[in-house]
Amino acid sequence: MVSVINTVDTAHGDMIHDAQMDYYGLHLATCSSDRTVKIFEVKNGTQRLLSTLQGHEGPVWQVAWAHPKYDRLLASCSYDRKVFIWREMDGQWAKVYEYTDHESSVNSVCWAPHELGLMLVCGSSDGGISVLKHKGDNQWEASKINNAHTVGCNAVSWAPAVAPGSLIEPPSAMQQANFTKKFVSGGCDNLIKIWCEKDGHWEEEAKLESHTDWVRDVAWAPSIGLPRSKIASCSQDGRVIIWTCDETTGSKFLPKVLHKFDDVVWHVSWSITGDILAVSGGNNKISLWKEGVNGEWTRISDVGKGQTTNGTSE
Amino acid sequence: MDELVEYHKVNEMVIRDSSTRDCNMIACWQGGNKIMTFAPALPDNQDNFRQTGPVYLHNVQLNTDMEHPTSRKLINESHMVFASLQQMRKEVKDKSLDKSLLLKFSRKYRSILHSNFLEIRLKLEGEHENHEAGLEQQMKLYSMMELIWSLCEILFVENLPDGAVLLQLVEWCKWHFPLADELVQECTRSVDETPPASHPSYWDAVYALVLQGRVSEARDMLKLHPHYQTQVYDSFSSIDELLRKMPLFSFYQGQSTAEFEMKWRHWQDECLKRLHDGDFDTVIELKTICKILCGDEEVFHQLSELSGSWYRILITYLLYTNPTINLYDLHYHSKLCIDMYGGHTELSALDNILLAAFKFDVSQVIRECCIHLSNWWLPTHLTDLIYYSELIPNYSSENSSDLRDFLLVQYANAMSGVESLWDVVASYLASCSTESNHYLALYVQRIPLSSEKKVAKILRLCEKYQLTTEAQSICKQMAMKALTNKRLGNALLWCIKSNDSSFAMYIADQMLTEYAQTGTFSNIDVIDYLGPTILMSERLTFLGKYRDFHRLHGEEKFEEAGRLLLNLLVSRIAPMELWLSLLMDALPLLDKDKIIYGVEETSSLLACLNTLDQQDKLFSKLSESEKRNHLQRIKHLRLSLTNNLARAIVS
Repeated sequence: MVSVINTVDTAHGDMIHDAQMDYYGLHLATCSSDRTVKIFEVKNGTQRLLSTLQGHEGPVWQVAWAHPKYDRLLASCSYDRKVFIWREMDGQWAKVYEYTDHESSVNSVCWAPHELGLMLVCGSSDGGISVLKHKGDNQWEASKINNAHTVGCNAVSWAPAVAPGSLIEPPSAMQQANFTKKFVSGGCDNLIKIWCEKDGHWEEEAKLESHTDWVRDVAWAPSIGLPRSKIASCSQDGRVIIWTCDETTGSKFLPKVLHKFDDVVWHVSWSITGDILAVSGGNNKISLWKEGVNGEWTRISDVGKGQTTNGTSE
Repeated sequence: MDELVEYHKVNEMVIRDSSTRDCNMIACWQGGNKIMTFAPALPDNQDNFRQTGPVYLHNVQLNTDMEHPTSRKLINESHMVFASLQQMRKEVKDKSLDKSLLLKFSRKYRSILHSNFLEIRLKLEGEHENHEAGLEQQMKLYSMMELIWSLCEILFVENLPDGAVLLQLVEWCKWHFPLADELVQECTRSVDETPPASHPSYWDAVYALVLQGRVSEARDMLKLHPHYQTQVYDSFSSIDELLRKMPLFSFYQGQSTAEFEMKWRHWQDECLKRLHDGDFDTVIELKTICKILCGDEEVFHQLSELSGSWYRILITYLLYTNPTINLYDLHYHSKLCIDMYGGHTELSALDNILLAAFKFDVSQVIRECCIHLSNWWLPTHLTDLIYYSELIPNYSSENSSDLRDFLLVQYANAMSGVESLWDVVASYLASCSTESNHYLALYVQRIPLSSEKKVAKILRLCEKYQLTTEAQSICKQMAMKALTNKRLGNALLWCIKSNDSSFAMYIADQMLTEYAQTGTFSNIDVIDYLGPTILMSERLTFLGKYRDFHRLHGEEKFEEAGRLLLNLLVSRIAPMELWLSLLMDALPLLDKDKIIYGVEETSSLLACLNTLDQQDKLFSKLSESEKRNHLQRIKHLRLSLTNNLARAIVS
């Protein structure tokens, strides 16, 4: 039931660290150790290289597309301690903003849900997390959470803007103030933290302890209208944990170990409807996990990477 | 049909990419059912690792079934049926539709499956050699789905009173397993060279017909045998008589079950008697036929090759041992037949689905279909069809989303990778219960806004399902797109639709700036169609009024135009940056023969000019040449206004 549709030669000179499709799946951005970001156009299932963005002075770890209503904006973060924001104008990509306030590699970038305005969160190896807010006219205001994770922050992910459950019982007036302004971060202190904006400041709302080694990735699941928040986390300890919080019975996140792998788990990624989780483990394998109607998680597919090409080993 | 492929596979796949040894794979969702995978170096040891050679990214997809071109017809046609079923449910409020109506819908779905099956078969026959990979598999899948669907139709939808189902099941066998017909054809085709009776398959053909209860056809076959004589009463005539007299139970013939059972017992006693009397001892094949008629278990064992599967022997077995079988007793008898074919451990995925149906366990059928079929088509449509008919207990799960919604979302998701199917996907998502409305909301935001026509359609959809924020977000994107393409009028229309007043003001400003620079409006006619929305933003109101001024001026209604212009200045609706332009607009009015501005009005205009002259901040923003121009214009205006004042006083 799983098949490779096509393989793209990315023309990168070194390993790719991230690949992100834009909102509609029409453009693809990749970033690599070769210090560049590449933009591809996706048409009829084939990719065509449009631009190569140069400027970073180290491996580029992650890229993130802003919502199209803010025009075509891309954020990238790098080992060079910088976060760049790129913009396309008349087919040309240009760097429009550079954020340099981190003292170490910036590992993760994530745009806030578009309902909250143009806002970007970045997590760095210096242990800090920055939230960049667009103030109009390409002016960006940064608020920094220092020492969010000792030794370093590895991943950041926004909560969906719609408060869980609000679709079932719509609030009387859907106002900006009703939107959840929260994100989750994971770091080298084995912790997962949930941050919430209160009176213009970012405060630690919850600390989730369960992993016994570095947290490698965190991903907040898209809201599907149920009164339940869901976060997936993965760690050096080989475990993937699904954290759920039922808004109706008090808001505490409870962990459930999805699986314990033999090796480090690097990455977790939710499908758009939040029902399938792709887990990238250190055993050269990707596995897909699906939540069934009964709430149980089952492994539906494995994608492994062969080490040889048509029988000829290297 | 016998070699049906099992779809219960181990879902493991290997991507061959030798360039990235010793590092891990990362997967990212790209929407729909597609994932991108690639192998990155690890952040920790990036110093001692460098990749050489090409760097690949692999696009991986789940459940590609629905993206196969042959599935398009199935998707589109079944969507029409699905949509009209939903429509009908909406019309009858209580949602449970008449059984005969459901049966009609079920048959529509089935005929779509069948026509798709035939189409693929035709394609396969047409292209003898290099036909598309997977086409054969698709054909098998379709025939399997048809088999399951028609059984479910008989058991769950048609569901006759008294639960008498056997005749339908016999028909089901006949329709799906044409082995008997094939054998008969084989025997009769070569009539010139070899007589049918000498054909090696002759007796198999007769057995197969009898096993399926097709007695008159079996009699016709027997008549082709050279030993069959009408004049003499022998074993052939005897079996012919038994076959002719076999009673068939049908609900529609108006006979009671008891009446039928009596007839049946009488007939079978006669069969047994003749068997024991040795009527058929001379022709062993006829003896076998009689044993079938007697419901002899042993003979079913012997002929299991011809039956092929437990469910076919089940139906034969019931036909000759328990012809008035009740729907709810099917399960009890199926066990015996399964044992005949190696017991439960030998059951394939398809067997399990059919067994669940014979057990009358709808939930189990759906569950097995979800696990074993490579697409969601069947469980989704079947569930939807019988969902409200109280056959499925409201199957509620931990996360309170029910089975129907779950399946609708899965089915829609599997298609969401195909852009052209967006309205079909949306239609299925929209058919979810209101609690699952958010799936539609999530999806609607991801439909590429490739043309204005499509956007209009999406917006209508949003309106229908009250997806206000999603609609606003879409309009905003369209406004942004138009703005980047410098189509200001269009941008303005979109942002009015999105109800974003600050963005509207921004665009109105852009239009005014353009006017101040070039002296013309490029898309000003848009303003005429705005109606009351013009009050949304102050700037927009000004733009509208200013447009009115130009129109009045064009229509040579100078007095009205003059009054409006003055109003704009005095009321300070006009932004200061444009005052000079506005005052310049007043110049031609001063040259008219008739005095437009009286003493008071001219004084007001002069006051405005003075205020403007004192705006140092505004002035300082201008370039050198603009400054010169600015001053010159003010000088010119002051002169003209003073002249007009003099004229007004005199008159």
